[in-house]
Amino acid sequence: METDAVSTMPNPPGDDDAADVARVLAGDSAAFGGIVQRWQGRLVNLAWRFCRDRMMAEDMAQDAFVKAFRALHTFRGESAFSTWLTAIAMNTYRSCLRDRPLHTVDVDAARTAAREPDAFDGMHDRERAELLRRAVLTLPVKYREPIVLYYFEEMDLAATARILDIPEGTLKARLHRGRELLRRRSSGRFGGLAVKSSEA
Amino acid sequence: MAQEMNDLDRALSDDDPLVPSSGFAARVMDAVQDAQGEPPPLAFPWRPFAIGLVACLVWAASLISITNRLDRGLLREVAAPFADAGPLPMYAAAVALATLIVVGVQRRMLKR
Repeated sequence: METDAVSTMPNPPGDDDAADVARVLAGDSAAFGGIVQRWQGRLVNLAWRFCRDRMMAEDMAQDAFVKAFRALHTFRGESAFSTWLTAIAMNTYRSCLRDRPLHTVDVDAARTAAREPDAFDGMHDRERAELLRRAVLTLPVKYREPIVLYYFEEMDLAATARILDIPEGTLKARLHRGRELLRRRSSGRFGGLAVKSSEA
Repeated sequence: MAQEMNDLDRALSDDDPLVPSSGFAARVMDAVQDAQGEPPPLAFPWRPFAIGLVACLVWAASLISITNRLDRGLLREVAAPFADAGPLPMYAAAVALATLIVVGVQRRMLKR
């Protein structure tokens, strides 16, 4: 029946978030669990792309959730909840990575690859792709954040610009420069790269 | 070069998704509960800061004004016993006096 179908359909994510935010602000902190359940994958994966370390990624995502919980009263609904939450996560990750500089993150291989062009030879596509992702972490923050977020947001310029709170033109320039830096560092080494998607 | 950029796009887009560990959500909620129990962060005390700043400015202005109006003869008379020792004892006395005043004011404020 149509009515049953409608009643069993889950609410759109935005509605669920708005309802949970309202409940938390009314004093029901357990309602924040719904937000955590819905967004944990996104926040952990975003953190993972900035550090390539599972434990660190989960710690960073946890910090982001706690900060979001504390700042929940500042969410006015002017932007999508995902944009607001991701912006908080980005700020949190930025300060986490400032406190824990890159030498504690496993990017030595990426640095080596960046300095030694031959390091890419004889590698499988997946390994080369992973090395490239780690090489992104060696870029200056100014280029690293736009690149990580742009690909995380499935190349959505507008969404990336909103989260980083920069004009789209600035974002485009940073993406261009960052990708150019990456291309130069791996020049000729990624030709014919075929990365199989979502392999475990 | 375009091919390289396409490969680069593909490599960066096709990152394997990471599944949060099973206890992650529970850990986050524990951290949230802990955060809820903590007192809210102290706000910067702008009001006392502003009052203190104004008081300092008034104090400095008064000091300059009083110094300018003081009878120089009286100052010389007070300083006469130390005249042979040069200016050093005067500086030392002034610093000691200023320190005593500042400490006294702080102690009075703390008692409040």
